[in-house]
Amino acid sequence: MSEREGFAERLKAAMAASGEGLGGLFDHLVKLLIEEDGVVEFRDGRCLMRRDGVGGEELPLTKGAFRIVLARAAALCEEFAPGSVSPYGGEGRLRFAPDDGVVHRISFVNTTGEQRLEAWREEFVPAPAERLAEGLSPAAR
Amino acid sequence: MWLLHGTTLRRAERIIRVGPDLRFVEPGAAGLPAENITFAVEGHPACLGSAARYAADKSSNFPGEGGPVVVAVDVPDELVMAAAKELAEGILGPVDEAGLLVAVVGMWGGILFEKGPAFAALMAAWPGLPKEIRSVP
Repeated sequence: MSEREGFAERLKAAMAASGEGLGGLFDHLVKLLIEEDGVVEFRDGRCLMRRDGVGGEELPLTKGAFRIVLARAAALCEEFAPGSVSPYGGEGRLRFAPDDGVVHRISFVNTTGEQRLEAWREEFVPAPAERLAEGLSPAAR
Repeated sequence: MWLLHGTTLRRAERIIRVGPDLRFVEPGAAGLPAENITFAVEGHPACLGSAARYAADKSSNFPGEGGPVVVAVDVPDELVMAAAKELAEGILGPVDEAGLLVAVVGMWGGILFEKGPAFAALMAAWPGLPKEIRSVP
C-alpha cells in the first residue's frame, strides 16, 4: 500500500468496520489525524492531510463533506464548553461521547475561503459519572 | 422531512423566493462563492449545530441584514437521501441507502447540498416545496 493510499484507506476501513458508515466520518478522521500528528485542509480543490506542513496526502472528501466534518467539530466543542468556538472556527476541546474520559483539543476554520482542521489528544479528564463516583459533585467541575 | 437553515432575514427572503444560490458571494468573502448549503433536520439532535445558532452568528456578522431567522423547507426524503449518497459515495464507494439515511438523520441531524444531481433536483422541486421563514428567539 502506498503512502498516498494509507490515510485515506485507513479512514474508509475504520468507517466501514464501525458500521456507522458516513455517520462515523468525523470521529474516525479526527482519531486518525491525531495518530498522524497532521493537519487536514482543503486547498486548490483538493482535501489534503499534511504532516509537518509539507507534502500532502489527498483524501476522498469533497469540500462539502469536509465542511460537515468541521461543523461537527464546532458542535462537539460547543457541547463540551458552550461559547468556546463559533461555527466558523476557533480552538476548543471535545469528547466523542459524553462518558468518554479522553478529551481532544482541536483547532479549526470553516469559512467560505478556508477550511482546516488540526487535532491533539489531551489530558484525561474524568467523565461526570466517574467524578460522581469519586464523591465530587458536577458543580465542582 | 423539514430542513432548517439559519441565516439573516434578507438572505432568507431571497432563498424562499429563488432557492439556495451556491454562487452567492458573502460580503468579505474575497469573491468566493458559497458552493454549498447546510440544513439541520427538524426534530433530531443538531449534531452539526443548531440552525438558530448559525442564524445568530450570521446576523452578528452582518447586523444590517434584518436579524436572525431560520428558513424551513419540507424536502422529500428521497432528495435528502440523494444528497447524502453523493457525499458518501465519494468516500466509501457504493453505500447502503437505508443505512445512509439513518446515519444522516440520526447521527448528523443535518445534510449538505453541493453542486450535483441532488442539488439540481432540489432546485427543480423548490417552487412547489412547503417553506417558511421562522423567527429566532
